[in-house]
Amino acid sequence: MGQLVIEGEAIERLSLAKTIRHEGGFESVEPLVLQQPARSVSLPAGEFLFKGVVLKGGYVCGVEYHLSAAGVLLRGQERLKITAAEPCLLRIGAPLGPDLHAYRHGRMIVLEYQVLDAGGAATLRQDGSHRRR
Amino acid sequence: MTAYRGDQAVFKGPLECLFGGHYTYSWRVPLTILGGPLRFVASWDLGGLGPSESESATIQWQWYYHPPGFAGWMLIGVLLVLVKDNRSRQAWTILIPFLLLTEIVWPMARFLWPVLLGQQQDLLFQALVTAWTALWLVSPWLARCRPAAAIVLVLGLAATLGVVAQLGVYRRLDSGPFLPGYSALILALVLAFVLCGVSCRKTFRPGRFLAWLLLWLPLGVGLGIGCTFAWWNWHAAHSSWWDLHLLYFILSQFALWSLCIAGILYVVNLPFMYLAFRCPPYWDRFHRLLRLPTRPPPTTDD
Repeated sequence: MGQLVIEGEAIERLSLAKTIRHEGGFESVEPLVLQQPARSVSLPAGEFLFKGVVLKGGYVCGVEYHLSAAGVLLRGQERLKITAAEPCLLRIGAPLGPDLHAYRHGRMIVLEYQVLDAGGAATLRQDGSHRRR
Repeated sequence: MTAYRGDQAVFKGPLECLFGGHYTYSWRVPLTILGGPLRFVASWDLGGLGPSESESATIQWQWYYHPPGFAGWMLIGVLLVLVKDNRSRQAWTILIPFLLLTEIVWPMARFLWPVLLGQQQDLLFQALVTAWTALWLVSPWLARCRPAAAIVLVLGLAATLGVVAQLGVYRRLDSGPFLPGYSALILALVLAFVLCGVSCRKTFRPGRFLAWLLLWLPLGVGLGIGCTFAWWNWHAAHSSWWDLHLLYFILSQFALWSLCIAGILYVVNLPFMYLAFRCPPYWDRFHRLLRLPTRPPPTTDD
């Protein structure tokens, strides 16, 4: 067993997937959902894929949610290595931080905005109210 | 999103979702703002999970950022005065489709589809309409040249305008997707017009020309995109994988893309065609340029 230490707050649900390696290099995954996880969670040693997280207030983050209309995957799946030797740190959840960048494009100023979670990953509202701000 | 000049809010606008969790907004700085720092702040209630206001992003705006945006206007003005055939009230009616497209249709389209029609598309549309207007204005000169020379001149002038537009924004020729897209569309329009001219050489009617344009424009767009990307990839042989990836993506959806883009070009070109069919000076230069059978020009009462 190993420890997953979650650095971040307001987590409603954390979705992981344990990777299982088979002979011949084939890899399968086993989903694992943690409801309102504590700051430190005991997990069997091995490799886990970070799938996504739901925060209080309906904010979501992760590959489960970050799909564009064209279905392009926008963020690679983070791999978490859980070992008995040392705890694995996962920065995720609140506090959220608005991130705004501006640059000039001819006579226009282009603004780019996103809400970042504690780990610096973009989050969005699950209910679709993020479409227009 | 709020824009501040000093402590005074000068603009408020909604950020639009570009894709999962990423928002954008393109703001055309009004002429009333000549210079100085512009500060932007985005606000959104994060439900107690974080601060609702972003840290401000600042742009030091300079007065000389405005003039390149008017290069097209200045060019049109110069051509209206410089070309002798344009020194008439009727020739100045070219301003109607130009203003209709750049100042009414395009801002409305950008208002309706702010994410789809971002700053890249804005630059492309403005440059394309300006180039097309400029070509109509120099068409009396072109009509006096041999066909091959006229085509070379058309492409040369359009390329010059494209380069000026590109440098006005990027200051480099090899950055951004504007130049390939612009070249493809100009090539498509010129090619489609040449082919329509050949198709209508024996029998010309406005409706017939427009019908041929429906056929040749998608073909022209297809060839324009193909030629431009082939050249672009050859030119940038050291280019990164995305050029080929993009080319593959475009080729894989070639027919659909060509049809969509050709449809947009067709609609954009319609005001100019209306002018060419209704206004005697443009009727005349349209016929002479494409070597169409001579017909009496429409009267202003038509």
